[in-house]
Amino acid sequence: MEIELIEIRDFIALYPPFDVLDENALNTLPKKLTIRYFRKGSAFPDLTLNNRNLYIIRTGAVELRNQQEQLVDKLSEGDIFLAENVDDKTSNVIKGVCAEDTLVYLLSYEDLLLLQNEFDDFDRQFNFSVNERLRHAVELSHSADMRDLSAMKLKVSELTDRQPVIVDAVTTIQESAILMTNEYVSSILVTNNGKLVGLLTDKDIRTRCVAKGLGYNEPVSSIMSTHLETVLDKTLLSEALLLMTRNKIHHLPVMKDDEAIGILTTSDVVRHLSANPTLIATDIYKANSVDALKKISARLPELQLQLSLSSSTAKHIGEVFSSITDAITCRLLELAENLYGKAPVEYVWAAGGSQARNEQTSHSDQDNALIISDELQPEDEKYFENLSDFVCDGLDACGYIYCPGEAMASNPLWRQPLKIWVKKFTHWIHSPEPKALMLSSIFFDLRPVYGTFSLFTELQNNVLKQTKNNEFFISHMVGNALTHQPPLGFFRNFVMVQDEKHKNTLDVKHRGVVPIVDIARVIALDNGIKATNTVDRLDAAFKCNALSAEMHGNLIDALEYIGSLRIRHQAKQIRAGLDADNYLPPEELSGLEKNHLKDSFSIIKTMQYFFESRYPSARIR
Amino acid sequence: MELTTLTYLFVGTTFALYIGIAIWARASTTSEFYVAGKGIHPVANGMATAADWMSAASFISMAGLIAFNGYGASVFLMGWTGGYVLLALLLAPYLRKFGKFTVPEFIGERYYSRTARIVAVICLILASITYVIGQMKGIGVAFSRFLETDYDTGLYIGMGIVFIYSVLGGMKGITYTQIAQYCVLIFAYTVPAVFISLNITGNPIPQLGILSTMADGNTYMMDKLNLVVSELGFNEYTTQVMGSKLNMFAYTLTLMIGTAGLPHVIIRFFTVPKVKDARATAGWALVFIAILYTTAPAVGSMARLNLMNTIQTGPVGEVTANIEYEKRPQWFKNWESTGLLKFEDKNGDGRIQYYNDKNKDFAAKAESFGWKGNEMVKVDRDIMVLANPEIANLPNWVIALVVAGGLAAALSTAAGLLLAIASSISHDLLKGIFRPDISEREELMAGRIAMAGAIAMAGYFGLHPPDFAAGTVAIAFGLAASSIFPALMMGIFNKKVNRTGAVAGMITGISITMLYVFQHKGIMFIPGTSFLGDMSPNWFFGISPNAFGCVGALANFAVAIGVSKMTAPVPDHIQHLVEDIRVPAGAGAASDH
Amino acid sequence: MMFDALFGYNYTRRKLLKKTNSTVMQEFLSNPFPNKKELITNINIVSLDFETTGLDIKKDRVISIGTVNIEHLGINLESSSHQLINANKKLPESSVVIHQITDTQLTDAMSIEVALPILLKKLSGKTMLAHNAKIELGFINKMCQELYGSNFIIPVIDTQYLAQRSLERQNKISKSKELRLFNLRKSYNMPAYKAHNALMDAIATAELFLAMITKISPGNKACLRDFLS
Repeated sequence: MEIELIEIRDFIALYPPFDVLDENALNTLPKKLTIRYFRKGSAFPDLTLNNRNLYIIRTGAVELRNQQEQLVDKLSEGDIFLAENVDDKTSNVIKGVCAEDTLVYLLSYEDLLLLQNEFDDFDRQFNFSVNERLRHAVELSHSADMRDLSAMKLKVSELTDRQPVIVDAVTTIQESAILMTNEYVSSILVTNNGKLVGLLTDKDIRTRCVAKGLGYNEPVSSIMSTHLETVLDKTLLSEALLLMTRNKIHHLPVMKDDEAIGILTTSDVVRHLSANPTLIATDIYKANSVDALKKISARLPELQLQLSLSSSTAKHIGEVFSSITDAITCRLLELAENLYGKAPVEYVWAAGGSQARNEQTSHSDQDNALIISDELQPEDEKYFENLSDFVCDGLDACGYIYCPGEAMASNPLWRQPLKIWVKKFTHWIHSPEPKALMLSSIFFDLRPVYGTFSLFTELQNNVLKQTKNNEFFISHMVGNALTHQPPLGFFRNFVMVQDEKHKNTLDVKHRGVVPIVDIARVIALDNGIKATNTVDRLDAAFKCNALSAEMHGNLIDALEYIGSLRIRHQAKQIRAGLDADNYLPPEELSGLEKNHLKDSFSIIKTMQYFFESRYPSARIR
Repeated sequence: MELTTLTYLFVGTTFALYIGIAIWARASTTSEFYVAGKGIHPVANGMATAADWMSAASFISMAGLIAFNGYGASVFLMGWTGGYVLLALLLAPYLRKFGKFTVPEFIGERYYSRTARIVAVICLILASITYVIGQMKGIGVAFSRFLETDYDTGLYIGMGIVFIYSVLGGMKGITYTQIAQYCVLIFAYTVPAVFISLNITGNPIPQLGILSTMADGNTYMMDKLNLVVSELGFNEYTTQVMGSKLNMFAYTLTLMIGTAGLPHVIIRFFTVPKVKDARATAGWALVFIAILYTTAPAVGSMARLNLMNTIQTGPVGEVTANIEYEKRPQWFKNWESTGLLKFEDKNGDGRIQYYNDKNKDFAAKAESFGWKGNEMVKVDRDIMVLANPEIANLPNWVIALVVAGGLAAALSTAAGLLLAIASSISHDLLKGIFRPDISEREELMAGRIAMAGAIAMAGYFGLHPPDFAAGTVAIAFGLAASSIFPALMMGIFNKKVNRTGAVAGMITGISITMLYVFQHKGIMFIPGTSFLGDMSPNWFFGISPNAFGCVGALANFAVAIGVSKMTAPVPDHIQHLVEDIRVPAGAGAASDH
Repeated sequence: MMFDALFGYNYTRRKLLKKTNSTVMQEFLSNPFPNKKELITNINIVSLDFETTGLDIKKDRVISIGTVNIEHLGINLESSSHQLINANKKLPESSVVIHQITDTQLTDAMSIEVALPILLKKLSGKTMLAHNAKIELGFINKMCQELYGSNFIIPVIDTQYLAQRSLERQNKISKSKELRLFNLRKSYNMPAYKAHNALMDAIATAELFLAMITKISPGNKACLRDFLS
């Protein structure tokens, strides 16, 4: 083949069903293609073509509608569509319109048949893809709004639309500059043996080369920025923005599977920023006092209301609020560092509990811890005390009330050098006393927020090494996870809260969300899973076979369903000017919803029974 | 009040109490952490452990065994107490350090082998099911008396209740429930003992009563009992042993080391989070176990004395000294209806003659009295504790209390074991080998089916009892002793034993033991399929099948070590692991490896 | 070029055909070019891109040729071809970076004497498409003069010219940056190709042209003359 068509081959090889073809078939495939272009708004497929063709979407988007003009499917990059012969009047013609300018590759029906005959896998995959799309189409027509893409929900990968320009570390400054000019980019990535080692921007050339009179033939490695912050392709835009503003940087390499797939720049972000909740995050970084932060955080309940109205998922809302808490925490730490000076030794501020799990709602308690480098000297302790008090007080002022269990950095027990933390965790793991288990939702859900993250990583690796497959510890954790049981009686009846204040309601947090969160934590610790978010933990558990496909799907659905009812309930309260709580009166639910809720509870029950029978000792407390 | 009503009331009340405590304990923990749960006090925990430890065999059968086997039955006391100490000192601390405490997990990891794990699971299931047979029998006895039906019906009802109890998770679980169970159990055991002791010896403390003189002040109670039984041709109570000295020793040893491998027992050592508290708990548990175990000899001997005195009211040989069948007491009638007590008027004199017709000397003598053989054709030893208060003419509420206590002991142990069996079958065998992709829901269902299967099997053997409850349990201990215990010991104390050795050892140990048991008691205990009679002359070195576990264990040790010498050595990292376990807990834990 | 267009390319073709002695040129010129009033949908177009050692037509050489055919508004990849040309001249370093063609690769390449007749055969009777076509035209013309002593003629569509024209019609001043192939494609939401070689650029140009057609004549009713430079 012409090696020059490798790009087209590589693109096609990424998507099913073509991904099962062998090297040879892939190499010869591009030559069989025809490229066509559809302008936004034009009919799809092209009815003037008399042959049946397989359409492969290269770029753009197509909306397919059935004869009732209902939207049944949306094709985007990599999707395939088999256009029927227009003469065949009996076929159920699905008509499409290009929602965007669309570039497609066409494969003739004859060539398609040849591939199907030659490759059984391809044939199966092809039929599967077509069926999959059909199923998807049915689902789509049922769900209301799938195209809601507010900026907070955007993943950075959706903003980086071109491949990054990459040079090797030994490339000279001039060569790099030529490349940047030719490619019309303001920044390029520098790699060494394929590993990303630095970033070079126009500004670097100006300030570190031209202004300093450095020779143009020096390698780029001499002037590039090596202190690299990166984001993953699935990172939310809001998080990326926090990272940029926090570190005062304008370029962020976007990584996927350890490979740079693009560079996110501030201008990319600004493009997507209009009036949306992300502005809160930017405001936080402009705030110069606790009072200013307090004012910003007063807007949070309103934000929750808006997000719940925009039919955001519970998971998404949790992510948004946790990243806002992260932002406030970071800003408070910066303010504290301005006030008390730079830290004498390295430290990391870690969030615990729901914030660490990215599952916060508008206002929760604060749970946090400070892990300090082992180089800590006794005379420096005062500094960290001041720092922690400032931040914890600040958080409290912003509505994140003090943790009733005192699990905060302002508590000296929760502000320790790394080696003491290691000891502490070792003790907790070897002697999982009730008190320690009660706090497990905080200290086994820790996530670094600010400072030297490597301190945290070291602690986490140590902890997971000790918990992994530790039957003794895990069975105690299971016992703890079983303390909260779904409010479902023997006859599938709801078991209501009995105390006076919340009479005849369902505690959806402690008896719906918490049991799943607890179980996910146990599975994570048992299998050495690093994730803190419950859905991420369940996903990882599924991947390492610690959870069956059935239970994995069920638990995630149950969590999202209960979470969404909780969000809706809270939105209702916020609208009515009440404080949001977790006590859901069943009257708020329709008959169908009650049934779904019972289903969700019984999934949790099954899971708990399962764990009870797996760890019979867990029931003994 | 009527006895039946009272029994219903007591059983009902105690169960309501357990359920109530379970619900209360669960509900009270739903609060947030700021009401941080305090640890349960070691004393309370000790009680719970004791309740868990004492099964139907301890509660119902042990005293019965002592009543009929006298001093010989003390092997159960020594074996079970010694087993507990052995476990607490020799195994538990190391298993805890290792982080594994279910036996298959430990063996799978230590012997780096799935095969070893599977063999351990199978051994464990065999031992556990055998153990459940003993519990089922106890439950059957208790229900048949409680509901005044025959034994078979009692067992069927018991099977149903055990299944429901186990599927619902067993109210055991919660420590407070178990504390309540212990209280009921110990109260039910000691109160009748106190009354009887008072009646017979005038001393309210049974442990002392057994050693003191009779209420009339002349003879020591033990002497009196020896006299009564030997007059009727039975072995002298205090010198009666079970077979040879070697057999006594082997029996004790088997019970001791068998204890270590049984899942429901071993788990208890790991429910206490702190090492220090765990030690205190073990100590207190021993105290609470001792209260029952030291009472057992008194209950056994006094029950025997009362039984003999009821039937033989006067000097042996006098016609009127034997009670008339028509004048038999109410308790006699009650137990007759369960089928566990049977009278057959062999000489047609309308009176009951209860003597040892196997004793040739006395049989000749009996002939001269006109006795035509022992007319008490069936006296099930398991009824002794339950019948004891009735025999001693104690008030009805005491009788009701004992029934409740017996049920508490049997149900909690049976549920615990069945859960462990279900988990082993569904998780270790089904998911581990046959269907790795099984979903949690299916695994749960498989566990329940396994549980029902185990209950059905145990019920079957309970209906065709191979032996009395404690005897069956002894076989369970034998199976565990010959397979699990050596594997655990070598796993901890001999780093040179490799997977091939461990697997060969376990298979050898359990096979030898089972073969020996079947040889004497019939294949799968089916009567008539034994090769050799269950008689001492046929026994290997005079060791009874029940006591043979320790011989199996010896074979296990020998084979495992021998095979290990001949096959590939243990990988380095496993050797390090073994060395690591033996470093005292805490000493090396905080250091970074 | 404008001159040629004024007199009509078929007129010039016939004139050149009469003058030339070269068989290669005779073959190329004997096929008539399409009528200007023909619908664009029916025109066979060859998208062409050269990589050269530099932009100076007098001194620099062509080092590779990429072509692909557009038929009925579809880019037929089967017709795509990429030919390396042996320039008999060491490559200057700066262009190596851009084209990623090294000298070693060039050694297995064809000489221009062999490659040019093949190219001319492909172009015969067709319309040529290129981005900033004066480079390609200049080189072909020079090579025809050197090898066959004849001038070169073909109807030409230039995507750069079309872009510039459309900007000028909107009274916008076109910046050279905006007119680069890469940036124009970006403005049409087309994928960015990593590879920088003659064939990929020819394809990229062809794709851009398809996009431009839909913009210039949404109903595909436009004629060839609407696009000619």
